Amino acid sequence: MKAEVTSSPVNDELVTQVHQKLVEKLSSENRRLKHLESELTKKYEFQRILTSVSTELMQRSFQETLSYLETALKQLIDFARAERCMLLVFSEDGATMEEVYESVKDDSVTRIGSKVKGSSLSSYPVLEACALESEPLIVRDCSELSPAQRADRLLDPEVRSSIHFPLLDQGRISGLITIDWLKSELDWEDEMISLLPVAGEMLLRATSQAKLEQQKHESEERFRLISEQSLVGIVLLQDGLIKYTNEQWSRISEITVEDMYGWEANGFISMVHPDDRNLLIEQARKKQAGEPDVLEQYEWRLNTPSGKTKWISIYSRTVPYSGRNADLCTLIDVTEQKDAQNSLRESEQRLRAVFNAAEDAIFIKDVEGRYTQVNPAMEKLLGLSKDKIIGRTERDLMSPDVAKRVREADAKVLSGATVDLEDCLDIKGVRRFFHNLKVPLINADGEVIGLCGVSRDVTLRKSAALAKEKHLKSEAQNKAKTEFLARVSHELRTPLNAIIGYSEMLAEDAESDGLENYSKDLRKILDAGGHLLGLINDILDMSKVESGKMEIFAEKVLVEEVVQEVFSIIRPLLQSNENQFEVIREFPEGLEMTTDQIKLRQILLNLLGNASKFTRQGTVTMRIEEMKDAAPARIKFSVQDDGIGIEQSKVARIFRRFTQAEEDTALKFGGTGLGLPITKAFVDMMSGKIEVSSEIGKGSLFEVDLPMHLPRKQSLGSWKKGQWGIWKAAETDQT
Amino acid sequence: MKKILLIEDNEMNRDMLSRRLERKGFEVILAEDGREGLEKLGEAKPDLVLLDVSLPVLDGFEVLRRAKAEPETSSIPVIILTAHAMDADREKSFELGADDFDTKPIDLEGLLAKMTALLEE
Repeated sequence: MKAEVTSSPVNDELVTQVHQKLVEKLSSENRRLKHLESELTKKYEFQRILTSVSTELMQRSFQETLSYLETALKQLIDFARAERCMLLVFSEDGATMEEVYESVKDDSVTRIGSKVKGSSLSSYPVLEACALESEPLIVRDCSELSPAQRADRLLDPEVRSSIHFPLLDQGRISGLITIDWLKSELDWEDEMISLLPVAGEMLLRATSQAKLEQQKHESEERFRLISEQSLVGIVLLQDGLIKYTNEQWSRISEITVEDMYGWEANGFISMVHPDDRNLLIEQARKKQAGEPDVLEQYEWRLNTPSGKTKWISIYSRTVPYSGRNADLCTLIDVTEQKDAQNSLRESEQRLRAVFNAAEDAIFIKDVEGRYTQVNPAMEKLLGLSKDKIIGRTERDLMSPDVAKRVREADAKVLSGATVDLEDCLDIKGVRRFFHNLKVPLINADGEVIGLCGVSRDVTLRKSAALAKEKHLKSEAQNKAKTEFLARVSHELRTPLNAIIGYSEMLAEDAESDGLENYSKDLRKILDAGGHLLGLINDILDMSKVESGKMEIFAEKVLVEEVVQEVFSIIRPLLQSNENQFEVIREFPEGLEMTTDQIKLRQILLNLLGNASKFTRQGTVTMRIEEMKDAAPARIKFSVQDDGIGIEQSKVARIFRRFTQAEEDTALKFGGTGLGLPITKAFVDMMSGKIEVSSEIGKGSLFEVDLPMHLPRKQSLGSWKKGQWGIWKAAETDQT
Repeated sequence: MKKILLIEDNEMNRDMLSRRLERKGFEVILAEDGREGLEKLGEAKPDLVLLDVSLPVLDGFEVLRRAKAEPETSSIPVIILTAHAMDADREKSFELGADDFDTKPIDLEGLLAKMTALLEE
């Protein structure tokens, strides 16, 4: 724009005056023009700044936007010849100044932005009023402000002029832009000032846009990171097609992501184990149909290209995708857990089988002492069904004294000890013994959560053990007795040997020298010695029988030989009582039997000895009878006499040890009372029978029935003759 | 005259049995313990041995075992004499090769019968 200048020569003064005025006018116009020019220049300049800033903002990425803001604000400072410019961004609720971007002219200007950032708007009444009323606050001279306004912390005491403009974004006041002049006063016209919010709002929108973009970017980035780094497989399925999947699913399924994207509609389902396909298809159908009983999570088997079968846990949700519903599935490989679960289940089943089949009672109790699990053996033990035991304690099920012992033991176990003890329990009136083992049950944190007990019924074992103990004790006692008797008998026999030997020698000498007086007395010594020897032998035999040390030595022997030997030994005794002896043989010549001939002879000598002793001037008959009808073959030896006989009521006593038919029998006839008990014991040992029939005054009949052949456990070879000294000496033995 | 070796540590039994055997017409050689018995067995070559079981130095079973193991003496019959009327002694005697067995106190007639049987074989 240009000023036009005109002049006239006629009236110089006037002209001069006019000129003067014109000049004045002109100069004023000129000034005005100049001012307008400068204003315009400012506007252009401002427009240039705005264009440059907005271009910058458009070209910059959102990350760079925020760092560019300070540069933009600096341009505003330079343009306004101000010292400080701040962009205050409010929080969504408008209560806080969430972000503050500040720029200063140079380092000599104090930055105040950091003090303001994060403060609530209400701490700055001046700003708050400006924002609330949506009216700009323009202070050309700060000295005009009230003390209260001056106290507003935002207003730097150095500030001479200041403008604050509320900024609109999306229809609401979202921030403020402030410019402070410190060195000069504000000389902008209002019109110029009104341009400021344009820039402010542009910047504000740029920040909010940048922020939004950043959030979006961050969430995308986050999703990408989560998806790619995730241990969870992700598949987005729509119309059977894989719309999205991640690396983890590629790793699990052993198929590349690219391959999966290239699949047709049945691609996904073809990975599923044939047995599980229906499950997946059915679930998808239900979901599509909006049925309520659709499973959110379930497990299925995946067949991988390498031939592995993997257990997959799937969790699917319906999400919108490209305007339609899709299934967003998260997938986890749970093969290990499943395998562990299976082996755990198998092991649990095995344990359960043992638990159920065990003969020992097994139970589990909680820390309160209540039974939580019991096996059938425990039900049987207590005589109660499971439902009567579970949930109860020993106090409910056992007698007070037993319950007390159980409780004491349980307390120890619950404090971490293992208890192993025997206890007894009266069941249906019968005392039974139990071996109880109790161990604490400990959870993964090491806390005792109960106890497990095993009760074994040891009643039988215990009674057997007691019986054995008793048996061993009595065996040991018997053994000691036998050994003692063997020793005593040995000690007695040695001097007796001398007594018998020397007296026999002397008797022979006396007889050959015709010394009747001596020989008679010497024979008495010999008889007494023989009697003593018989007693010793009987006691030793009886004790051997009792301690089980008496053994059978079966060997072959001619029956006739036994008869002859017995007869030759017994003859002197028969003769001394003037008895007749008769032998009835009812067996073929040369008959052999397999037996312990020493014991057989002793049996016969005892019976014949008794018969001779209790018979005077009578007949003693020995009958030997082969019992042909018996199978296996048997033989019977009978000894009959017509002597004093035994009273019927006393017959039973004669085979008892140390008892004779009459109390005074020993006085009249002598003897230990061991002869018949030993005889019976020998007969029993040889699997035979002994029977007696007797009548007072008429005599007695003893019958011994023996097997013809005993098993030949040990054969001692031939040992034909002799061995009769002791029995010869024992001839005075009686019942 | 048959030569009998009597190995017996008990003086009274030794004296009595030897005298009675001499009267019956035997020549009796005496030994008081197992070692002496074995020595005399080798030197005198008796026709029969009467051997006590409980002997000092070497017991009767050991004497029996050695006598039967030695070819020069193995054929000489041995009768074991024991005061132990225990079955185990009898059994053990025959296992070790004794020809017969008798218990004390000795019944002379019985013993003579056994001796005669063995000497006649």
